[in-house]
Amino acid sequence: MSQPLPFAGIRVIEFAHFWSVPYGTMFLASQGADVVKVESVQRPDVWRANHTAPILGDRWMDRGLLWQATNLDKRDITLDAASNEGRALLKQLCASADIFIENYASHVVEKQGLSYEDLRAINPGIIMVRAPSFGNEGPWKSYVGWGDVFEQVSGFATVTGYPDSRPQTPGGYMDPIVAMHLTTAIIAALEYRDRTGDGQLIEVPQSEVGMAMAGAILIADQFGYPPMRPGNRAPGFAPQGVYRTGDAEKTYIALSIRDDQEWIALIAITGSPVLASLTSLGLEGRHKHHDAIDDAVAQWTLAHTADEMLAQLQAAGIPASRLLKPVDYNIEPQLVEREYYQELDHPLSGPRLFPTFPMHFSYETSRSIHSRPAPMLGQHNEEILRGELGVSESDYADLLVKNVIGTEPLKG
Amino acid sequence: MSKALEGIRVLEVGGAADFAVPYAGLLLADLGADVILVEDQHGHPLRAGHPALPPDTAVHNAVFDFLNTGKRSVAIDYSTPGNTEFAALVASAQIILTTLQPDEFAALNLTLHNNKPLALVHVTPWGSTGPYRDRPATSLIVQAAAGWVTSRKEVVMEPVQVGGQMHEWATGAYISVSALTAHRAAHQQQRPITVDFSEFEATHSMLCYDRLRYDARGELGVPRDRILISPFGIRRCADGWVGINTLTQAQWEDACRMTGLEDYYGFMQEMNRGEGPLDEFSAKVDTFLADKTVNELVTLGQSMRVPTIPVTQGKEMFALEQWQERPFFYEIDGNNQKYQVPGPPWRLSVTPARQSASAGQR
Repeated sequence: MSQPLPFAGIRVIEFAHFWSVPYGTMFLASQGADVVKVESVQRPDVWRANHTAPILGDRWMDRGLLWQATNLDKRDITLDAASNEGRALLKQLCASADIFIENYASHVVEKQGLSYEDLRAINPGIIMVRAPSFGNEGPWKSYVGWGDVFEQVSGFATVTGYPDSRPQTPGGYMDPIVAMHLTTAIIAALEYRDRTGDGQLIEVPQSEVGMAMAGAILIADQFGYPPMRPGNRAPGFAPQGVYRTGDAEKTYIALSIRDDQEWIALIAITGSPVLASLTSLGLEGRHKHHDAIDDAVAQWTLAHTADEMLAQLQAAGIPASRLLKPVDYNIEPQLVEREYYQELDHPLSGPRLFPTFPMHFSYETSRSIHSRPAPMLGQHNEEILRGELGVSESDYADLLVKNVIGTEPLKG
Repeated sequence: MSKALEGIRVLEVGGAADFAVPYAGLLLADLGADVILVEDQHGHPLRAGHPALPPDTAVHNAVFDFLNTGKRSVAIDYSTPGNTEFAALVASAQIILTTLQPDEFAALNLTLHNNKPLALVHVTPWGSTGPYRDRPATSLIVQAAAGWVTSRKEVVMEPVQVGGQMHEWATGAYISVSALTAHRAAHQQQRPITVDFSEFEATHSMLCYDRLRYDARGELGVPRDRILISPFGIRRCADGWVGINTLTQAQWEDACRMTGLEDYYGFMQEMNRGEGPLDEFSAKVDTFLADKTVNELVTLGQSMRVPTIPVTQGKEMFALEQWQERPFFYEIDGNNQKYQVPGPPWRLSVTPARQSASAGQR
């Protein structure tokens, strides 16, 4: 008999947009939580507009694949929280919710009467989660930012790139990272609430998540090692790098040599006389001659295909890999074997492969952890407002007329 | 005041020269779990440093101490099968984070009772199954395999890794979520729950939308493989580096207005693809920035709602005005040197966050 999932019975009200918070709540939804995403026809989630356009067909804002990938397993309603009726319904929804989570600009929720104090007054056990850019207080509380900004301010751009390049933004990976941090705090707060009955307010500033991960960079700097851009190198390994192969299509492999034994194995595999002349070098010596070693390794890699070189390197126990490219994600052998991508059929955009999560729990009966495709805008209005909040038929019709609810974004 | 994870004992067993599991343990300790580092006679591998850290024992020790803040440590030869001291410790734990594979852990001959809740999280580079299971890995190799080694946002640049082991720290947060979710399930189901956790998959998870983006671009009729660059991006100004980030057309126009380059309103899409008058534009941006300070530019940009930010270099972060007013960094008094570290990434109104600044003592 299959057991209920760990967050079954937990209701999450998601008053949030873009990628960070919705990715975290999607994890909870995939593990059984009832996540109700609250948008409005005045201001649908802006992330809906990412990589989609009217040429894709009707309801193009339901067709964005990145939006879908961030909102699987959820229900979706629209409520104009700027209207009295919308706000009242949102509060009614919060009265029975376990978690209310938002990531709007500082003070948006206060303006709409949805501060922690407001919510606690109607539901003392509620856990409210806020994920502002820089914090809900301080001189930067109104500053705007997104993934790239948080990577830059937390010091990770400065250590990414080549010594002669400008600092490189890693690329906006902060959203899922913020999501996992705030999900950690949410589950801990649920533990506490289960024990004591008390809810609380959790603030997870997205820039501080980046900084929390910068401990080693900060410590090294204070001990006399200012941040630098190491390219693909690392003090503990040499050679280590990324090298272009001889494949017809532009391809690169990465390899790391961790010790003298692997160094000798590499020399044998490459058959390079230049490398052979450096056989006796230890780690320090190899670092000193790293440029020359790189040239010799690159000469070898350019003359062979990735497949043949990786087979030889891996057989010798040398850490090596091809650089994965987006076009190959769905056919990457380890990901395929472990069923990382799951097919879900969306009524408008058809069957697609969506990412799962990287944790495989022993209670899962299948790797198909997502139970349903992303909802359409306002798809569950009637189910939730009429069916669960008890809105009368005439009031519901009135809400539609007043655009407090709806299923199509308002123009303009 | 009781702590959020009061009464939950977490063991870290095994370990690698990798920040992921120690950071996961730190996050759980921050929330009040009783985290115990179980070290054999060789000590945790991270005590000897991380391959990406400068080769300096003082740095290794300080980073190790920071990551083990609020934890305890016991020296037990856990790898000898049937060690009763270790068995007793395991019996007292609710969560175990281990770098051992399931078969390696099983070989320790511990009795895990079928009706006792336990979250047992196996954190390995590639996971416990699949063709790569036993492949060796380093930080660069995991990044390469997961898709993280790219030409970033430059028009022309050889592929490069992300620095600072960002993926290891980030993976730590996926691990803490796994541990607490498995703990919850184990408690509900009154039995042990195991987690097969792959660092490679966690790293891939942070950019896994790129394939969907690739498909979407094809359907929208725009080039699929064309790199997307950031025409403003990170640039040098009078006293450092500043990041000017634009996502939407509105932000683009505001950034053009901020730099006096209104003539380029119509070129966003083209230049995002690395085409159009990029060189001439770039030269004009640099001219505008040359005599202005980071602070001036951030104030100006943010006043126009352009996501403009200092590109901080290490400890410069401590001086940012936001964190002068908002306590976040705190000092550790090490053996020979005091140093500052970041606080926990959350503030909870009821339960305390980081418990103490005392690092794990062996």
